[in-house]
Amino acid sequence: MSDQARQLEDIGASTFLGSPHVALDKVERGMVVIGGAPHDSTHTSRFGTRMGPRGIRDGSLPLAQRIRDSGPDGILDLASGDRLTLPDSNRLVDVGDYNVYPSDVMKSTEGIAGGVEEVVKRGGFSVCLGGDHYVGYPSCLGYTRAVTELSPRPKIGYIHIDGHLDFRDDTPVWGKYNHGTNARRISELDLVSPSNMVWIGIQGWSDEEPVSAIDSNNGLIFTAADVLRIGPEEVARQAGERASAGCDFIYMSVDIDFIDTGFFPATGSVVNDAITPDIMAAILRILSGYPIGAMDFVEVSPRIDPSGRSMIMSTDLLLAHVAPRIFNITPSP
Amino acid sequence: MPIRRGPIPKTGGLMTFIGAPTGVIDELSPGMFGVFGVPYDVSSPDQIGPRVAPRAYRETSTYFQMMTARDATLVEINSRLTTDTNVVRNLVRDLGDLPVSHVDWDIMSSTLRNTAHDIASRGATPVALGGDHFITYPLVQGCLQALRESGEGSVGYIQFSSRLDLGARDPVWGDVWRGATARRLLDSETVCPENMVFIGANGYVPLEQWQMAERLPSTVITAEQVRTRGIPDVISEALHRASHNCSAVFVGIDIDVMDGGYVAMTGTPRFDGLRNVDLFEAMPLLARGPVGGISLCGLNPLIETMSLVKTGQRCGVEMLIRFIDEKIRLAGSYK
Repeated sequence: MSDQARQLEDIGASTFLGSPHVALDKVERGMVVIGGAPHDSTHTSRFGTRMGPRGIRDGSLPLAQRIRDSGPDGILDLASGDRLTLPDSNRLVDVGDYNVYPSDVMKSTEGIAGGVEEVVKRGGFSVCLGGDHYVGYPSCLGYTRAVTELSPRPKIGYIHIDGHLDFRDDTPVWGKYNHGTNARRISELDLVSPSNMVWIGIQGWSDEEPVSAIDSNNGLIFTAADVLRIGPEEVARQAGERASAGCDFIYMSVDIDFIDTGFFPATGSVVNDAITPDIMAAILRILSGYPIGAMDFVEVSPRIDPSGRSMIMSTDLLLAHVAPRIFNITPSP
Repeated sequence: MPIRRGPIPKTGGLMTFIGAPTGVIDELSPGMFGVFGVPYDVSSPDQIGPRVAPRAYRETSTYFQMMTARDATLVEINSRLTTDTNVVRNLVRDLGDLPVSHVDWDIMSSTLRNTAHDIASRGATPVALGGDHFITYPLVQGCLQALRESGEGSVGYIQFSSRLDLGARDPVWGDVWRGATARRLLDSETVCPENMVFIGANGYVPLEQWQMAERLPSTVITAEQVRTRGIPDVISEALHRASHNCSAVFVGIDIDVMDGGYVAMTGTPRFDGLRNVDLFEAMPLLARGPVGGISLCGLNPLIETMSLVKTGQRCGVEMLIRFIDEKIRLAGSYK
């Protein structure tokens, strides 16, 4: 790294939080591994999430600068009073983007799943940056393939944070593999337990069949109104308990259109549900206490938000969940 | 007739409100909803732009085309109430945009009055996609005229706005001024003061208007009072007061009643306003009262980069859908 790159946030390779860019075979146990899935050909309305991984990485650089500037004292989380310092050995890497093929959904599926599988097999905590929400399915698919090496017959719970259920079985135009069917496809994976599937933040209307299917699976839905009424911390706790009950691991899928679009403009599907970013951060923070083994973070569409604030916000949201894995945390005295 | 049969992407096809069939007023009958655009914004003293709001509402409403898809049943995820899309499709018509005169208010107001009158006379509900808030004044007049012709009584008025709109006249804009919407309804005796309810005022308002509101037997429920009392209580009182001795109530919504964090695309953003979910909660409750017309105004899609984001138009579309859906349910049209 050049001296300038140490000083300026807009110089040097754009990796998440300025982390080292490494090949998959350099991933080590305990690392948080950022991998991009710049795929949006399965988005049913406004395209643009293919720019999501790049946008999120760019948006993380201002904070990377502050972390570098902070030196051994680290940075202070003003909300909690916790002090975050970088450990002696780095725990965050960026493997770049997985292979995607816009004209071949199944080939993209294998490209993303293969990358995530490799990360998890090496003991990494996979954070797959979308891309439209369809990438949640191949990401989870890769995770389930990998965890069979960690446990003989693992059972996996699932937490879906989103403004939408994404549980349609099929759509007339887009078929069975798109950003409205990803959770349904995940429910069909061998290791995933449908009764340990939890949705947080659903709003508006849905086709009747997906709701009935979730109900008959004994899945659990917290609407956005539930989150506002019950409170994010309690919803997160109940979700974590349900998803982990009798399960070895949890996979978590985070669609940023859980947040009201007034506060997070960079997304294709506009949502008006009064969920603010701090509510999402609170949920992600609580869920870091549960056995989540991999996650995706999707539907960021940078070109819809020329201000760039959504992409900067994405870093804060991701850190709400993964900070304990990356930093040494000294609790507030 | 679509060019091709079979499924099309929701971003494709003719752009109508929630993908509803196009139609004309003569097709309307009791229980139906006549949705029309009013691309008029000359009565707005700030940035021009609400004239493109009807188009923006329709474009964004493609998200809700499932509302008029054929043979589907939808579930509202909070209430778990179901919606039969075939029924919605049968009852909603997009009448297109009114022929707007930006330079002659007499022609414009006459068009608005006649449109509201003709729709209401057929027992249908006029749903206006504004446009400036000032269009509401002749729309209420048209509804009143229809009521009187049918031998019914007066019309009440519920206004959602961050302001009172009780100004007499603007030094530059004169009488044709958005800030005089409610004042014109009073001065013309279209609405009795005791049947006028203001919901959501916040921030600063002109002293003269505030004193007028206090002097009149009208009802003012500020945004802060909405937060304290809750939407169900507020809407209950509003309907009670607006409909007292009236046959119908007209609801005029200026989108600036919502906090600018949720909807920034208005020439008059406020940051002490209502939440979008407050309006979503209000709409079905209003539908349970004798609401005979509704106007949605003040959205300016051209303002800021937020025009890319479409929070305002989507929010407006969802509000209208929640109103229409509940009206249909209450009429017993969903079997």
